[in-house]
Amino acid sequence: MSDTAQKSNTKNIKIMAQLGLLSVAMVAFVFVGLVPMYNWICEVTGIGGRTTGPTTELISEIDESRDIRVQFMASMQTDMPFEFRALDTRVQVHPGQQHTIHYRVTNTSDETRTVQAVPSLSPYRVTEHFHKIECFCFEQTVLEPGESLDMPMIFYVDPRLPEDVRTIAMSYSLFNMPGYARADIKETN
Amino acid sequence: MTAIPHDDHAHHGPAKGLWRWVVTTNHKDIGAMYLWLSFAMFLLGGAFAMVIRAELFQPGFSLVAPEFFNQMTTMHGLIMVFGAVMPAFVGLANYMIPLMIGAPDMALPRLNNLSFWILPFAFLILVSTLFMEGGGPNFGWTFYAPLSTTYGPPSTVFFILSMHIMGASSIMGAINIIVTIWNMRAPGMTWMKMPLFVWTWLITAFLLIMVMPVLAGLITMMLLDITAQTSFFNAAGGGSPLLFQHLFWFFGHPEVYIMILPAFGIISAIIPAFARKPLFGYASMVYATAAIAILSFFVWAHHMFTVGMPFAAQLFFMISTMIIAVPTGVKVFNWVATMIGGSMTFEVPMLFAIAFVVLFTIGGFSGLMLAIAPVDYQYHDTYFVVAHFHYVLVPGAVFSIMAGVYYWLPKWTGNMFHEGLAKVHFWMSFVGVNVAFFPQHFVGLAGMPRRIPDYPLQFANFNMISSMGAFLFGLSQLLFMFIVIKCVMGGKKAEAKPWEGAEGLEWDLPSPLPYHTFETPPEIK
Repeated sequence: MSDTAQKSNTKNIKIMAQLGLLSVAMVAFVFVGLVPMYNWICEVTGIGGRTTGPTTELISEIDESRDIRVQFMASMQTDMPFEFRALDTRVQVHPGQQHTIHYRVTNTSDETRTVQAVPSLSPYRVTEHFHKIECFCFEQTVLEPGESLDMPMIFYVDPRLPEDVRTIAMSYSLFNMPGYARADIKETN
Repeated sequence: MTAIPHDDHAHHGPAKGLWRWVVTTNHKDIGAMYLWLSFAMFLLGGAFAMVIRAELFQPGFSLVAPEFFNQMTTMHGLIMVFGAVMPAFVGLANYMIPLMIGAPDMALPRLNNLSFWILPFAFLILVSTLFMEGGGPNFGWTFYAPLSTTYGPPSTVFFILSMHIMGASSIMGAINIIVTIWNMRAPGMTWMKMPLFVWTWLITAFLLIMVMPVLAGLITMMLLDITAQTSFFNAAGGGSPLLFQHLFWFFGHPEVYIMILPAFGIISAIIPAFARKPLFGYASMVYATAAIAILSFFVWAHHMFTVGMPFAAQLFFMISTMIIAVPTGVKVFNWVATMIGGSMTFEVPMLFAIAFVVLFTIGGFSGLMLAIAPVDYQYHDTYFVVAHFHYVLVPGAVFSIMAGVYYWLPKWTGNMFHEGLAKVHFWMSFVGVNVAFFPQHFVGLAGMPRRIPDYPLQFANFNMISSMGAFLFGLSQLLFMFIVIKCVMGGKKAEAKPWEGAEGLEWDLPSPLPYHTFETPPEIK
């Protein structure tokens, strides 16, 4: 092989290595870049109505001049062996005022089941103003055959809620959890 | 002892026997194998399309079970995108790029062999899923989660494996093409002297390296969700099905340009040849291609306007999508301007190229209609979308490949193809494609959803017309195969430059091409 051909070949290998590195970096970018970016955007903007874990800031002031109506809905796929509904479908609260509501879930099958409720809030832009102190959606629930449970959720609405918002809709979807370990979901919800 | 004449390495031909094809590192061999594989996949994917159109010939479940119909739509899409169009362009790149830039071969011949030879196994795995328990993939070529994860058939893991192999092959192929163009150009072949096919492929290869890894990451997440109980796309575990769509289309939209940019390159070679005029606006073509490639990373969510995006996001993706019409318009303008005032003749490659310009533009316009977010709510997931992407992919990408094959076939084989038969092939394809896909605009606007095996009676007439067009198009491809095989076997001898106005280094070489070319770099004027 001549000298120039040798040189050209070395350069070929070098460019190949760089491009190979770029493609590996792109794979890594999907996992450590795009997926966290998606979750971050959802969290910051509240798009998708995904509410976050227990709130850490507690508010003492109650704004009695405003009445906010909060509606509660329950949904699940039709073929699931559960009954799932909100016991309090509609409450009136003042911003800052703590309130407790309940959802009832019943396992209608003859097996022990684990369920997980996933929240979604509407309109999206109030997501950051809806604070949960305690919620059944923070963890999975184990239900014995035929067992029925009233699950509590304690929340308050932030007084900084935009003035034009009078109604908030909170929806929970119930999922059956075959094969999902408890530890899997702690962090994300 | 007198020396037996030494078999000079530089002048030996291919090795004998079939084994030659397995171990070959020659870019012409590998390019030819890519093209044959893609043609086989084109016929297979076409056969699946025939099943779809036969089922839709009349309303009612007449021919196949709905479950099998779903597998057919899915496999048709996957095979055509990953098996027919992409390998055909890679094959043309392998064959033509070293000739066009005056290089003796691809820069990384062994990698080239590997990237081809893993492909047949990928498709073997993919097609074998049809015979597995639970059937093959049935969730559409976009394989949205959770349809493909929670509710997919057991064969989904094989589908993922085959996609990984295809992705690896594409990435290796793309790396090879970039290294070749970057480092193997003959002295004097400056960037702005490169033929547009080389330019468009350089940009396409960068797109491939950027987005095929995204696809690989995406299907890896699917695999983890299916087998390791992770929750990337499972809402119950804190994941999001919507994340899947964002990731898929972040890959998917650049992917559709991967399937059309090399086509622009081919058309930009053919139109000047038969208009006997240099390409109008060469530099603007290069910049337009680069602009389309860059913009393709900022438009992905126009595939998902109806998922419930914030208003601002819909506006952004609508506008960014419409901006792409500008560089694309520049290209169409340049092709038309090349033809105006030229001494045009209408040989078969030119017929396909002109049909490309007209019909691709129709597909582009329906794309613009789909980009309008408020009306997309009406068009979304209807046959209007099917009509749109078939107009850009069939008379777009596929016609450009056929144009390229007819254009370079005399160079490859040393024989002229049968002009009369080829014209019959063109007109059958041209009529077939329009009869098949134009009525789909109408049924789509009237509300017929895509991917369904049955439909209400009011869509019956248009669907029957569409099916007849599809059968005609399918039939004409058998004629194409016959024409190509006939040309390979023999025919009127082709000159080194069979097309009077053709430009480029490849026409300085004899027809058929010797096994080794440009071992000493050519002089670039």
